[in-house]
Amino acid sequence: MHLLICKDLKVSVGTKIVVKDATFYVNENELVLLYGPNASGKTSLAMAILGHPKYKIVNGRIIFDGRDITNMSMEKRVKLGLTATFQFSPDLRGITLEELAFEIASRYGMSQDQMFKLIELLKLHELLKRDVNVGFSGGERKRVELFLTALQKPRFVIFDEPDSGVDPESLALIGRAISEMVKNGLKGGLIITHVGYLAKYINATRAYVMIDGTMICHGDADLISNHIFRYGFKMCIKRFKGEIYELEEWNKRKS
Amino acid sequence: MSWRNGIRERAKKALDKPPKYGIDVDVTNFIPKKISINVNLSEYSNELSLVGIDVSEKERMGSFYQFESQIIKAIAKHPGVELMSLEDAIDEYGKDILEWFWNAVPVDQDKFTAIAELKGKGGYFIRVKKGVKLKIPIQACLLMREHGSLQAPHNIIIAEEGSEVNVITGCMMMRETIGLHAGVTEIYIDRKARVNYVMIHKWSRAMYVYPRTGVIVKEGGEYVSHYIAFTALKALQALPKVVLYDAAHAYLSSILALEGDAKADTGYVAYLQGNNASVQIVSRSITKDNAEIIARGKIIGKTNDVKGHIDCQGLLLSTKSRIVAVPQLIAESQDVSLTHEAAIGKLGEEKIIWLMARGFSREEAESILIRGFMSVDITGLPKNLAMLLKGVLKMIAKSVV
Repeated sequence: MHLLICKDLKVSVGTKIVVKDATFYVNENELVLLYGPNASGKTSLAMAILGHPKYKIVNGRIIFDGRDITNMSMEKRVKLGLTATFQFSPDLRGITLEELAFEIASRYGMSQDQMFKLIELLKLHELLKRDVNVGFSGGERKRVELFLTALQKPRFVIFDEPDSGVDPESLALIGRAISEMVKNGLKGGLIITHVGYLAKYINATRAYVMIDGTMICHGDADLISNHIFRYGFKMCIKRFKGEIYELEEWNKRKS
Repeated sequence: MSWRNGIRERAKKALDKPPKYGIDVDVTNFIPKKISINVNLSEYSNELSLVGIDVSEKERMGSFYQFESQIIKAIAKHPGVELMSLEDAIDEYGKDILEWFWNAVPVDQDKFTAIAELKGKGGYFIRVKKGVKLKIPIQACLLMREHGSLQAPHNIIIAEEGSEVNVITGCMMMRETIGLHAGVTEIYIDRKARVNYVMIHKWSRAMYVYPRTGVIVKEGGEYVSHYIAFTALKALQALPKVVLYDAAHAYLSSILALEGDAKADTGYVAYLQGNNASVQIVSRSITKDNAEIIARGKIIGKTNDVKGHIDCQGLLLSTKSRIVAVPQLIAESQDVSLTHEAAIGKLGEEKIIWLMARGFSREEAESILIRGFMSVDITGLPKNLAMLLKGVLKMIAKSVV
């Protein structure tokens, strides 16, 4: 069953169209990768699905869990269990990580045991008494973002580049945290990445590629990941231009 | 009391002297009043908790209550501390009280000090004996509710050598009516003694508030002050003066969250008088509606190896409100290190959105950010006082959104 469907999505920020045409779906119990070079519209797509008021949906529909949420407020979407981890999470001066974590956990009925397990898993002990993100390294920020999101026991998460600027050790921890989220009720996720480092730590089924605001291809996660690792986005662009049709075909030609 | 005549003469001459900052007030419009109702403090426990006062007095080492001009209670629970009304202290000490009477604040500073001396009633006298360390706070509660009332108590805190005392002062106007609060507070901190002083103010839309405070910190002494004022008021002007001798240290914070047509002009002045003295002045100003805050901070480095820093932050929650940050550094010796930082802005929309993605409503997200904005260093306070301060700030952050 489809958990999230985006059909013919067109998104604008101010007067600028940032997502031109995005159609894709994520099934229940499925993690899907979304690849794309910088500035291809991936984050805009994520924010539009989350319901960020700055990102206006000018065309298309978003269906989550069988409900049309296209015009629903962000607050209501989050209440339905849909959320996103941010690529750049803000500094919160004067609020300790521990304080914020307890507030989120108590609101979502996350037990202390579950919370401490996540703290352990993501190696966050030393950050708990510090102000959220203030002076944190890139990897620490990503781990904190995953942690706070996990406390919400979400049903669906768009992970916006959880692997960028992250050391290999943090990468493994993030992979494990996503698996832990699945145990705590995560039914699906869209993992945005332009490098795909995280692909080997999680069990993604399919992958999409977005270029210049348009979803241009999709297919088996391993197949697409391997291609991008080997050739970058070249072949995707060729396909986008109509020069090639199927990845399998490209693969055969190359081998 | 002939010894007081000279002081009163000086006060009389200052009765028309306007305040250096803030708007001027005709003090003759206000007179000290008695309470027109029977007072049962437990009925007010919820309201009083907003300004840090615990009527159960469980976690308090002493309590002082003054309602308008009447002293309701003054009791200390520790033999190492004296707690009484100023009148009782004058009876007990006689002329000897001059050691701590109008020395840290000049009686002729302006019309508000003058009126406190000439018309004021009450105020607390707290004296902590040498070496006595009281971690559990003493509370002082000053309440007003009568129309056109003047409350001008004169408070004195003395921390003798090596002692420590924590004091919470909660002041409140119980009704929406006009009044003038012009309390004088003198704090004398002897060698290696420490005073943590938390003052929380909650007034009404028509209140004029002109407290006058002077603090003298002797060698190696420490003074921590947190001043909090919230909701509306007519006018507030306060600029406590802190003098620090050799190796003395002070942390001075003011947190204001004002609404309505409130006009406030507040801050601290610190004199780094002795070698190795240091001070931090911190202000957090939040304005809503048409409120205006002028946040001052002034450090005068007079001798060698002194350090001072001013951290002035403002947060505007409405388009019509106004904040002015006035940090001032004066070096009168070559070997001083004086710095300041100041910033004024509004709540970051991206931070609100991020918190909303973490499951908070917009109001809750704003309240969390405001709470963070107001947070100041409370590591120097004992745990219960730190918790109390955090609780009050959390409540303010919720109510201001």
